[in-house]
Amino acid sequence: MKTTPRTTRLRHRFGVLAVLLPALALLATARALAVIEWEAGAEKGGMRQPIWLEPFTISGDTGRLDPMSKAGENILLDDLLLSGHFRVDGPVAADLGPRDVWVARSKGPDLTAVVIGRLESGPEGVRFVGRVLAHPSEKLIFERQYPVAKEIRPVMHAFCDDIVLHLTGEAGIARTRIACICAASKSREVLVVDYDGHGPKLVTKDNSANLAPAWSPVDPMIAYTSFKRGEADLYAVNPETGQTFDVSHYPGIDSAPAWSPDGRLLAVTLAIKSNPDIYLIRRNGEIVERLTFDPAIDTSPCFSPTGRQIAFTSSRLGSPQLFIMDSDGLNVTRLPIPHTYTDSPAWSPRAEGTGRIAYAARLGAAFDIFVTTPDGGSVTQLTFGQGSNENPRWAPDGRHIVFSSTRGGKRGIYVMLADGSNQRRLTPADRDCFYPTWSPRPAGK
Amino acid sequence: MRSLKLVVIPFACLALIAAGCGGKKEPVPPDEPPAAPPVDTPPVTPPQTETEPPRVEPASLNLESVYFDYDRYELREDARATLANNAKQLESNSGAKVSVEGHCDERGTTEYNLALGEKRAQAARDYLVNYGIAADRLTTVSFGEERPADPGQDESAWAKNRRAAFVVK
Repeated sequence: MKTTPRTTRLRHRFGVLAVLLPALALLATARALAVIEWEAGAEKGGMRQPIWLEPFTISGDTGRLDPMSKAGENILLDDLLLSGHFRVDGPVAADLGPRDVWVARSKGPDLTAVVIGRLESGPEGVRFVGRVLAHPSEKLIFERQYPVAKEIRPVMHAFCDDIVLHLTGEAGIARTRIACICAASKSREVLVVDYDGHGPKLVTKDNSANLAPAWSPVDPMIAYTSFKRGEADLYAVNPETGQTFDVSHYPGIDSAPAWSPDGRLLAVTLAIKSNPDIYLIRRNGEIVERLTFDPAIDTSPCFSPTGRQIAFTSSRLGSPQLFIMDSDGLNVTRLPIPHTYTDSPAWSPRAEGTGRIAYAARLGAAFDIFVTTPDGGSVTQLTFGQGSNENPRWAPDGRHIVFSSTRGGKRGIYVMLADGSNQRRLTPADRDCFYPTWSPRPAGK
Repeated sequence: MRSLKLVVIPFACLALIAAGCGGKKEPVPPDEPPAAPPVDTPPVTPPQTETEPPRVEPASLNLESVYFDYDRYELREDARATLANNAKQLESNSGAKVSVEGHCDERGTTEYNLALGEKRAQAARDYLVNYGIAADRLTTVSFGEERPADPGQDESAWAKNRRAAFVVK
């Protein structure tokens, strides 16, 4: 499952290599990018590069830098583990006790890289120098200096994304965020947290029931359903500024927003003609096209990564089931999966290969999360009856899935790798949170 | 078990050449999302204003809720009987305007339940319109699973929550 994209990427890189070979010959000390190919380790949660994280060193204002350094080590360790790309060895990992890490205290022969960090304070302020060395050659894979404005946390996220990029060739997600709905005293507001659960912040103050947030794939804008004017209408909020926008107020429900990959259009559920159907609308609510016409319920649309198809839920066969249509509404086909009550389709943003669709299927009284190929040929169960597990949504790397689960009593937001491993709660146990959506990566960085 | 092949691919040469071997350029992430287009600022739509409804004594109407089977929006026999009684009351209170509210139990996803509540409200409204109540006296709104009549989590509570309710405006 994971070897296919990796092979594709390698082929691509060899193509680049062929072009660069003459230039390489001129370079006495070429800085190298290590790309690791894996053959074994296909067990669940496997295929992870073993890397070594050295404790950070400091230079300058010890009193200030020492706690910052310790905090930074832990944040970076967490980021590296959450990425799902690495097994982390070394004293930093060992000191934190039993976690999902290998706690070797000496560098084993299978290590691929060593991560080194140094915090320095000087007249120009504090900076962090991050380096990654190949193991055992100790050749420099990359080095970067990061100014530390106030907190070490965003610096560690940026360093982790650089490590992921240089060691795997993939863009990381350590600077992404997750929005969800959180129940306040008598309302439900949109909450935004960092991808690791840090820094929760309410971004709406609508004092009403808000539902179904969907983060634009291209900019800081979250579309959502709100009852703030008495019925279900569509709004959007900029999570940076808290500014809200009206999107659509048609008669009947306006709900289930899903962005097109270019962020210009929304597929939504409207009931203008008294029946819940899927429509394409612009950001200002203007209707582009009605896509479904069946007298049953059609809702919960999501776009394929190319924007050419839409998966959605329909009750046209009786119970809610998943269907796929072209994005002009033609060629509607049922997704041939064995479950008879399925909802909440979410199409992986990775366009390579055949693509994957995550969804929730009701088994008995509760839902569990599954992933399938768009032809329904391969179905993998990711959660197994720990509470009800609903509303899967993909991270922009297509490697992680965020979802809601009642396994802790109240509903909470959890993340996992797309093979079901590394399941981890993001929101506090005493908060009722559900309906997650993942932000894109920050633009231009 | 775990066998690795380390393929070292020098990549920084172009960047180094371009920067006179001194600069350090980060490679562009391969699948960064496209540059953000300017945000269309949607025009603010004013809230829909209702014309002042004629005064009606709510006590003069006793419109009962109708109930549905799980995941269904078809009217049951008992629902038809209730709706016929509600329609008679609305006939003799010709000034009354009514909001038909569709509700669901908590099972199923929120989005699906919003749509299901819409279907239930429409089914009840359609019955009243077919009976002869003027369509402009009836509006519909779906609350999905947001406003349960009974907060319980068993079948007796769920049965009370799968309903269309009538609110005199």
